[in-house]
Amino acid sequence: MTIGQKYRNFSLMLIVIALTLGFITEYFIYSNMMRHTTDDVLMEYRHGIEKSVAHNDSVRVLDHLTNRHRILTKMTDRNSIRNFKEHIYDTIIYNPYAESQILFRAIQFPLQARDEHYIVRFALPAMEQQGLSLSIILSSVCFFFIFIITSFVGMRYMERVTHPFYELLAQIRNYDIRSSEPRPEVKTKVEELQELDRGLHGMMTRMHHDYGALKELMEYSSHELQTPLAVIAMKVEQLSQLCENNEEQLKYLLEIRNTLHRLSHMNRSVLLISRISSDHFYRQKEINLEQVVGNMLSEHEEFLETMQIAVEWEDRAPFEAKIHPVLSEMLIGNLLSNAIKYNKSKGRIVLCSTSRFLSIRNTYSNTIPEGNLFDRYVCTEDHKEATGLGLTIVREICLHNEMEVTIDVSGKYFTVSIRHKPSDEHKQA
Amino acid sequence: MNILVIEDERFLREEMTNLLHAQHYSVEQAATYKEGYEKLDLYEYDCMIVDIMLPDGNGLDLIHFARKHEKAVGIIVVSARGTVEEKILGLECGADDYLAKPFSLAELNARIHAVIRRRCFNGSTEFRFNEISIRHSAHQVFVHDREVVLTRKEYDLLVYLISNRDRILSKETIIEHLWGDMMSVSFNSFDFIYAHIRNLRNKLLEAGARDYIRTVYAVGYKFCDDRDSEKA
Repeated sequence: MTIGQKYRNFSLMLIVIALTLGFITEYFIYSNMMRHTTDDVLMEYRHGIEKSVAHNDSVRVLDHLTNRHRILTKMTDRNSIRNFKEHIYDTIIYNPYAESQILFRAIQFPLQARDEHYIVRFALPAMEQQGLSLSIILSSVCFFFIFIITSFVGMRYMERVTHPFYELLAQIRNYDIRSSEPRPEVKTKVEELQELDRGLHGMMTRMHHDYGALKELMEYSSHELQTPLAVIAMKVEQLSQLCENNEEQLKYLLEIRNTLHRLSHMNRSVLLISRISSDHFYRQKEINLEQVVGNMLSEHEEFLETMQIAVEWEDRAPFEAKIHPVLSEMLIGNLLSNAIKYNKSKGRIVLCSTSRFLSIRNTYSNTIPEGNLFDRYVCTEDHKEATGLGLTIVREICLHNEMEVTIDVSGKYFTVSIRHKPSDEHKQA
Repeated sequence: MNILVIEDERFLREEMTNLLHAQHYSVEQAATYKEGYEKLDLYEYDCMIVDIMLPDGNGLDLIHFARKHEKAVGIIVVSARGTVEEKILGLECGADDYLAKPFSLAELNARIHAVIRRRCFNGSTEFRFNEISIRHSAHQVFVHDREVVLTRKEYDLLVYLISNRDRILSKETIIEHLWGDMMSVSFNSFDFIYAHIRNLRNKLLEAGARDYIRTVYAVGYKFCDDRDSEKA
């Protein structure tokens, strides 16, 4: 829910509650006010009646009062009068003209004239109270619509004021660190939004600069290291040609050459891991990794034949993943090359591919090194010339492409499995 | 054959030039973008080896220039970057091949041969070495004009050895050439190389060829005609 929607819903609820409470309060206030006013009028009439009766010493003077006030006199004895207290009350009286029951406000009080005791009831119609309810309802409805209109105007204004905020949000959402296009400035007179815009601008500029610097560093560090390595490797190669008849020298030169090659490979692997981590491979496609495995296996067919490594598919179905094409080949290439390199002669490679996972299981000839195999530079004693970065690269590729990779070593098989991360399994299904 | 080498690193440039001279190519050098541009503009070459990161420009622009002006030159890019995207970029620009540094001169040699063969002869050249002849377009090998059936890797191995004849080729270099970088690192057993060499040797010998494949102990192999060294 957006800020605007929340504000709108809250405002409407507040208006409804306020109007309801206001209506109720207004009703009771006016109702009580009207009642008190009526009571005061009744009291005045009472005083008037008492004066009039005392002056004329007769209740006959009350006969001229209109039927509207429903004055009623009733003779009673002294004992009854002694305990009688005046009181004001609501009563319903039948109106023959309206042919209906009408609500009246009446006062009953004792009266004495010529030694005769009376109980007088004087009533005023309560039509004003019914009219009051109607007028309160009408005024509430009017206020409701006025509130709605003002709220609507208020919300539109708020939308205008907060529009720059949503522009900034959109810029954050659509921000591409690789893009060199300048960020459009957001125009606003609201100080907080201006500060937010300035802060965002500063942050994005720094991020873009750091990204560019990192990219440049990776490119140039690769160049600055690989070129001298190439020079050394070429010198070693040329020396080898000259030392053909000196086996010992040839062996030393070969070791130098292999170390150089390992160093170069390690440098490229570390740079690759950095590039994967900093999201260089963002262009993804739906790729069937089972097909990539098949293609790579056919390239290594002769190799496998020579080593007499049997390859079989336990299950074969497309395993689709959203991944950069280059990374898909690196991922499968690393896994397959490990399965082949660390296999034994006349060993086996068992592949299994379903829509949910892809696994490569192979026999192995050496001891598995201790520690987390996905950590950098972990390799066996027998393969010290390896960089120990192959599985690290596999893990990084999986991490950045919504997949998870696991290793299982049981019995004579070493198994690497790739599957989609749990949240994606439903989509894949 | 005329080859242009554009590389700012002096030693690399000179070693590549020496290698190509030894292969009887005519070689010119350029150390900067500007020099390379001038030479490419004025002269025709059969093959060009160009580094991407030149001090005063980008080697890819030289490739663009060559292709734009429809120069029939085979182009091999050499670069320290070596990322797959840059390889793809180089090839999309019009390069015929891409070599990441560090590379062996033997590998460069083989690539130059392949590029020149494709560019200059549309891949249809027949190459002869004494009694061995290779028809590249059909991937066929003949000894005394009789076909010798080789597997794909045996064929690639033979072409690689012949292209680098008289040079010692380490086992690692051969593995890198045949199976790429990934397989070369961390390999304890070279049994498969021994097997390929053995099979190739046997097939050539059975077909009546001389044994040109010499083992260099603990290092690798060398393809040479011992009669040349005896004469020397």
